[in-house]
Amino acid sequence: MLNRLVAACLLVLSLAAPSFAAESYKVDPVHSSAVFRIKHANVSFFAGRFNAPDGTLVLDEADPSKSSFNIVLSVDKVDTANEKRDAHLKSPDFFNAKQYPTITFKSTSVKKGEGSALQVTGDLTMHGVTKSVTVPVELTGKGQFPPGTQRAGVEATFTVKRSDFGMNGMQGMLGDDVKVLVGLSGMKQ
Amino acid sequence: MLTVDEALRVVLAPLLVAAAVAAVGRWRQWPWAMPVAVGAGFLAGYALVGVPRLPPLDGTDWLFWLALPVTALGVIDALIGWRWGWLMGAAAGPVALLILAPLRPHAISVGAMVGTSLAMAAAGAGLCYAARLVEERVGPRTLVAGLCVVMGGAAVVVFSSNLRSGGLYGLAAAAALAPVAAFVRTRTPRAFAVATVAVPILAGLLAGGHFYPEPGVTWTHLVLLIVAPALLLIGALVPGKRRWVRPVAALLAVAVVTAAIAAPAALAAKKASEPDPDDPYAAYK
Repeated sequence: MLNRLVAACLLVLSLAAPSFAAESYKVDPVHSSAVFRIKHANVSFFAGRFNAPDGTLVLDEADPSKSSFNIVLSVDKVDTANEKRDAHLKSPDFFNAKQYPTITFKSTSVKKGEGSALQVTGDLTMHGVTKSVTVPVELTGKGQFPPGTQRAGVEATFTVKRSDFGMNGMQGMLGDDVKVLVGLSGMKQ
Repeated sequence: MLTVDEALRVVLAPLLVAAAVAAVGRWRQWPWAMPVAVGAGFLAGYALVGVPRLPPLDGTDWLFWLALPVTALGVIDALIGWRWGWLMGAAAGPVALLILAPLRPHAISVGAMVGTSLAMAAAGAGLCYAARLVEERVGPRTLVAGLCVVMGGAAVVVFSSNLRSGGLYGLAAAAALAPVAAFVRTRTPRAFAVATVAVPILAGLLAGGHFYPEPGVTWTHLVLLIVAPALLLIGALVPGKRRWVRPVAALLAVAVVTAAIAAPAALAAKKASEPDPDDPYAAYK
């Protein structure tokens, strides 16, 4: 009788265990966004985006320190609704897309933040310069879409100085602070 | 469009620095002063926009650091006046190679990089040889003025090809050449050494302008601009007893070709940056 009880407990625990383990998600490029906003002529803000973000998320709600984020943006996919401006952004005046074709973020540590948020510290590499940044990441939800595909969503808003990454083109005409909003939808692997 | 601040940094500053060096060089009859004036003026303009780190983040910024050895070559050429000194113009090849190397392997093949560098080296040596002929047969002032015109045209083309910073540096080089053209005189020894400095800078500017931005300087424009200074030799072919005929013919040939390339490129860039009147959503962007 005792043996059966122990076996049943072990079975229940083994079934429950995966829900506490780290879950790996692949970024869905269609339902994810990476938007940036910069001041123009010290007058107004305009926004652009990097289409089709890529990467992987590992989320562990029980132990956030086991979570990780590895995000890749393709500079060639910058889109500001103006072809001429997009081409200029890809030149060495700004991102230098041919020499540095990607922007990457690789987390180095994840801590629990306020509420459901995480404090994610990682290496942001852009224009050949790598800087450590700490980003508050909010877990925006979990669900299924399409049916059968488990998803988890995260969002992060942070500000970087483009001059910190050696991007000094048109200083004065364009602001130095760039606000970034990244919303990612991950599909469970 | 060039802002007032940029004009002060990349036009006025190089002009003043080069003028000061060239004026002293003319007064003291230093043969090395003219190439130094060009190099110092160019570096001053570049530095006022921003001194790039070493090694630079952007491959195009190698032009700043390479201007130092290239100026040294110009000084050696002016001091020694070696018969085969025109071969120093082949420095245009290594300049192009170093500028293009950071694009390997994802944006340029080894073949394209080496081929472009070899072509630039050949063009550089050829132009420096032509510079000696132009100095001898048309005059040193025409030689430097012609280089200034081509450099200015190349700057406009690069500026219009989504590499604004490259255009600014080209303007700095053109602004540095202008006072040297004014201060150089027939008795200035070995003024051809100015080409030893200017030609590799021109080659580096055009190589960067072609390979880095998209769409960059076209192959046609690159080839025409790199060989344009050789058109100064037209002046040597013009018969005439009046002293001004040959320089005018030479400069006219260079100016017409350069303007024919630079003006449409600048206008096309201006048009591309304007809102499309046929776009119904233009007002909402």
